[in-house]
Amino acid sequence: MKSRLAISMATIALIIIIAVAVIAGAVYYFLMTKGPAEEFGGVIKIGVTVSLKGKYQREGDLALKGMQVAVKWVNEHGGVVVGGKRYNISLVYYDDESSPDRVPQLYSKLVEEDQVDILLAPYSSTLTKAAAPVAEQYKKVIISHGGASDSIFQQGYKYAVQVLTPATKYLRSIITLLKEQNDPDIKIALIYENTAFSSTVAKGAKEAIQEEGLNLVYEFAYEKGTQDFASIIEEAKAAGANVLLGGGHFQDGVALTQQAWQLGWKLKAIGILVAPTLPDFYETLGDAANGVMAPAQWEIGVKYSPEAAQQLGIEWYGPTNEEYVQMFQDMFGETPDYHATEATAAVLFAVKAIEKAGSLDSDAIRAAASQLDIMTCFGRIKIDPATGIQVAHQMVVIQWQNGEKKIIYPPEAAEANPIYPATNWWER
Amino acid sequence: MVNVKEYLERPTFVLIILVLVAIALAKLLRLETTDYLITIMFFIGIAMSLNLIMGFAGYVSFGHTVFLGISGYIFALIVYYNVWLAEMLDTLFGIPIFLVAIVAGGVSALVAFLVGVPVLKLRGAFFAIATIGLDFAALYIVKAFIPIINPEFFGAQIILPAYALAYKNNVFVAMYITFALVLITNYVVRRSRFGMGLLAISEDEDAAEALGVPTRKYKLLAFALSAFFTGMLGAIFGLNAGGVDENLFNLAHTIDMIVMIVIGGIGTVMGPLVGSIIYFILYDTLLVTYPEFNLVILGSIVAVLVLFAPRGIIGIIRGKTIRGKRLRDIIE
Repeated sequence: MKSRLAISMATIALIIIIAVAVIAGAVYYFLMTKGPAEEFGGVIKIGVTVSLKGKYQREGDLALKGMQVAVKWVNEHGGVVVGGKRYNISLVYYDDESSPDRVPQLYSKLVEEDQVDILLAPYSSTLTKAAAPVAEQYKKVIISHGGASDSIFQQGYKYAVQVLTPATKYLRSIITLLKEQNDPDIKIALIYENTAFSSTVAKGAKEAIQEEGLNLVYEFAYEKGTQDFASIIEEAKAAGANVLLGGGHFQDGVALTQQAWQLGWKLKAIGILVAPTLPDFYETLGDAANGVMAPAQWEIGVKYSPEAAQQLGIEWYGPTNEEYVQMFQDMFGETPDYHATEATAAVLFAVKAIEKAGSLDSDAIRAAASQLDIMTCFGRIKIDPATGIQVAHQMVVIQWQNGEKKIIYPPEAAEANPIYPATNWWER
Repeated sequence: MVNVKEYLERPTFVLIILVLVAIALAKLLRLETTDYLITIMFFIGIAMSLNLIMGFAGYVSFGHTVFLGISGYIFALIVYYNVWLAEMLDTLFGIPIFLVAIVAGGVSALVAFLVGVPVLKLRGAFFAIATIGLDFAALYIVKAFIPIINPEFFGAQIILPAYALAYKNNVFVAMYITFALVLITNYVVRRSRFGMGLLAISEDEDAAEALGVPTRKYKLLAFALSAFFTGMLGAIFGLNAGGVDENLFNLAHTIDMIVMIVIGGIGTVMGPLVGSIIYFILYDTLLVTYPEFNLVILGSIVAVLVLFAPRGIIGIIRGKTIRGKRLRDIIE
């Protein structure tokens, strides 16, 4: 009886000791991870319209999920500290139905009724152009994550900033990569679809080719829906071109690559827009796909990391890539794509700008945004102070290598070395 | 001397004044955002513009959104290429916006007139299809030529400079004047000999012709007038959206216009006015509160209305008699 009592007394003592240790540990952990506990200041609201219906439904859905992941991450990691107080962030959103018609009205509502502190732009430049005047009117910073057109940033909007690479820089990464090969014999043919997006890309590519001192020997803009590229390819071959850049959408990108292959065009490098980023590209083309490069805003395997940021001497913010993809999968049961990650980056950029500004005043946030140079899972982000256009984010370049899509550029994101010249295309 | 009392006995007239006063008050007292008011005036306005040809003459112009597009683009091009004008747009209480919109609307009216000469000979579904064809034709012309006119444009998208709409108050004023003009024109036309002629056309065109109604002239005039106002509204709305794009040619606009007219009650001024106010507020509320189901709910409501009240909301009331007065006689 007595010994039993002694055991139970010992057990109770043990439980108390463990409990005290756990509580002490928890308090210690809390203090260590959260730093000096800031007073809770409330919630900072981020306003946006997303396309839940209509032609941008898929992109809108992914963008919303990307924003939600970012919001969750920020709140789980201490929120934002402004003026000594800790704030959580929350997202207020409405459906814009992929049409600019109600965008001004909904953004006004976000500012006046929901009293959001900062805005994210809707998906696409069509919708963004309708939101920018409202942001200007109410003097709210608006962060564009899905409008690759540059023109909005040339219209004098003071509060609009951008986190993704603008269309004019889509091919710049590939052109820089070509330049880095130190090959004196590069003759580029630029063959692209005559649509808004591809023409803008081509215009930027021409500027980049000139800046890098490379040689453009042939240029052709084909009409949308073109399937027969034989005569264009023969002309380019006759001009002596050994590098092919261009494309537009999936179908024409595949057809252009396929016919260049079948016509025996010897090429050192092939850079095609959009099509090669999709798995179907390899499935359709087989060996011809190997060696083909494509630019992308973001890819699932990018190697951006806090270490890479440290090497560049800039700050890292947000989840690491693995953490990000994992969170996205846990929350939504699917993998993120670039539409999602752009939106994630926009939220992270907003938070960082607010934190740096140390206030919720829009002019202070805008000024702080100009000074930011950070790296996130989406890559490096830095804006041009005057126009708000993105200057640091680089397109990642993917290349098909032995049936696998590999990220080859920029170095801080790469998982493989570029194959140059593309052996199967050049030595045949 | 205008007999005020006589006007007050006309419910449609009173309603028009009430709507205009309500919007002005909402703006002055800041009950709603400027953009909300601009948008509601746009949607009610385009329905009332289409009413001139569809409601009165019975001609369903299914491609009517083409005039939003034509005038929107004319407006944007004028502003884009005349920097002095763009810089002036945002001054003088929106008067410059209004004046440029008149020019842009005029182009739509001209197109409607030229196209109307052959197309208004068609009736019923054939007329509707012809106007859809006009919309597609205009859209493809815009898509083909805008990028050629200036490669700086992002495809067919024209983005206007920030200073062209630095103060939405000016856009509001231009929209308000246009909106008031549309409502008043509707009212005046409905009471005129011209309006009676149009109603006769919608009842029985051959009979109207036989009774001496100049049907061709009236139809053309109504179509051009309708296109003119639709165009003006499209031009101002395009400016408010920061510029123009292919969306202006989207047939969804016409569907909105037709639904607003039909649920209100065809053949009157009050019907489409009431219908469009209800439709817009309903649409907006549902979009904000139930973005997942708004179209399902709205579609069901419209289907039920059309099923049980084929003559629209006002159609139900018009059949009634109050204090020996047939409402049909006073609701215009």
